Amino acid sequence: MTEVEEIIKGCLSGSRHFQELLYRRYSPRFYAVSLQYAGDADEARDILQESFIKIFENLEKFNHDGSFEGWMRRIVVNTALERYRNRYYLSRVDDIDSGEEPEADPGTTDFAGLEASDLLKMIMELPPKYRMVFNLYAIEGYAHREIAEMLRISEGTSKSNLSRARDILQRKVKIFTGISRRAINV
Amino acid sequence: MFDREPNIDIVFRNGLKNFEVLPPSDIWDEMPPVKISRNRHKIVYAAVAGLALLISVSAALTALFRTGNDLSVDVAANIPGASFTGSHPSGAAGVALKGQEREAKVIRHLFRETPANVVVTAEPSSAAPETMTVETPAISDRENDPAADNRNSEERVNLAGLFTSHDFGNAGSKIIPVEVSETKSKNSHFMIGGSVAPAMSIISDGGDNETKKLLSEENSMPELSAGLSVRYKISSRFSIQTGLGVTSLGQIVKGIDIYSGLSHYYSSKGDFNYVVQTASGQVIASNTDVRISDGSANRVGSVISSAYDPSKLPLNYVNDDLKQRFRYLEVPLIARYKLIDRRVDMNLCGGVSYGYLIENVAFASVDGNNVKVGYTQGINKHSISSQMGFGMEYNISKSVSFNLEPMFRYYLTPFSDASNTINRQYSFGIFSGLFYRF
Repeated sequence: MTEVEEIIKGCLSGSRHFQELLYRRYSPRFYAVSLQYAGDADEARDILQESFIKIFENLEKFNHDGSFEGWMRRIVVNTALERYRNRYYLSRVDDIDSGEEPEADPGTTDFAGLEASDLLKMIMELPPKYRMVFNLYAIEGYAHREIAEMLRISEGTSKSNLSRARDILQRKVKIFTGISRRAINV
Repeated sequence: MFDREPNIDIVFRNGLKNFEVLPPSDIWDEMPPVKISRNRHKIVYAAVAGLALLISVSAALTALFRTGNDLSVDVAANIPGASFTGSHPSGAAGVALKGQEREAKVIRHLFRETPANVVVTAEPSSAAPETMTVETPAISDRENDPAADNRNSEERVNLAGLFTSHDFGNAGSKIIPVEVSETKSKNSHFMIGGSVAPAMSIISDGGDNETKKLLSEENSMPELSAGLSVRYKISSRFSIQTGLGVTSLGQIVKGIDIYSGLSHYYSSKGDFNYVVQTASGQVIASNTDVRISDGSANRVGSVISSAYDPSKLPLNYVNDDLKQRFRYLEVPLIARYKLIDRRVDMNLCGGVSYGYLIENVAFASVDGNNVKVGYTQGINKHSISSQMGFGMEYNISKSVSFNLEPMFRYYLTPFSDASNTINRQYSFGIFSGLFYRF
């Protein structure tokens, strides 16, 4: 039995100790995911906490067929989505249905000097609706049809939001790398 | 960190992969203790099964102990002038009988050789051993008492001892033919019986277009269900029933050509070579000896390399129907209300049933033989169904009745876990069977 399996077994027996072990092991990774979706630390904190409660409560439903981490990650992402829907569903605007997915300008950005924390910061600074679509599409690998269902928007809006998110991120990266290059030259 | 990348998506995906940020330490401290709720369904299943088991055991035990309790033995042996008084010769307290039936046998045996005109009633024996007492007035005394024939209290024999007829010395040696009649209690609370039913199941499409399309090429397959039941009458009209049964659901998938003999030509590299998409879920053809093809609906997938074409092989054709069978071991809990209480009773019945999947097989038939193809993936092991029906009960005798019950069943739990077949099943069956009242 692997260490993770032992922790799962311990959690299933209701042991707070094993729950803490699980939390300590995976919370840094999932906190990063929470930040990616939340936009601010307070919201990320709530997402993380709610997610772990759900993980513990539903641990018995994990059927060991796939990756345990993947299973937990889905819970974290779904929790973030649920909170997003509750917060932003009524206030969504400019539901533009362009139908086309504009491609980001490829190969023109110099990414040298970018750290993961910089990337995370850039995502966090995106408007929520762009951030959600970008995360689901670019990071999680969902299709626009699935994203449209999850966020209750049209596929066109999903594509449009992705395009805008990419544009914003491109600009941010350019600005960042420009600053970095100048700093290096200095 | 990064060089030039062609796509910003990849930059962010790779850059954030396995990225970790240490969360504030107080998050864990503020997290309330989470009580692990063991699967609630399992608890419900266990409760239902436990209740049913409890009722069954209680019924069986009560039946065991009631066999002698309601037994009245009337013995009429006209032997003029005979009188009978007696006691256990040993004078000792009797030994408690283990079963009432044995007690009744002793009574019969005793009075075959006892020249007395008596009525003996076997009373329910108490747990504590009792001394045998026999008080039988002489015929002459009885003639003076007009109520003598009707009473049974003064001629009561409480038997708790184990003894034989020759213990009664003055009984005489003539074997007296006796008339023994056993009357059942009018208030029989338990019934036990068995029933069978041809049943048809219907899979709902759940509003899913893909499932609807798949269902258009599938038919229900009639299957037999059977079970043993115990029924307990709570009042004159209301009763509950449980038991153990086997319920089968079947589905025929049309237009799937199945051939056998593939293993002679092709060595499978995995556990299966083909999958077939059905409304119940994906059939995994674990029998690697079969080749499956689908001319029209494009439902068959294969892991065999496209460079290898099994269609050119001289295989044996089996059938163009793929059959699925799902068999459940069931514990029902059914309440029934008697609407009409006549020789033919009319009952309204409904309840729930827990089922555990014991057989999940996909097969094809040829000349009355079944060729196993595989199994359907994602079928739920546990099921809870609700059922409702209208029953007719014909009382053949005081003890035996014939039941005919059309029952409609709706599965409360999803039939399959398959993502695109979140469907439920319905089934309809006409149960018929015999019940014995005791």
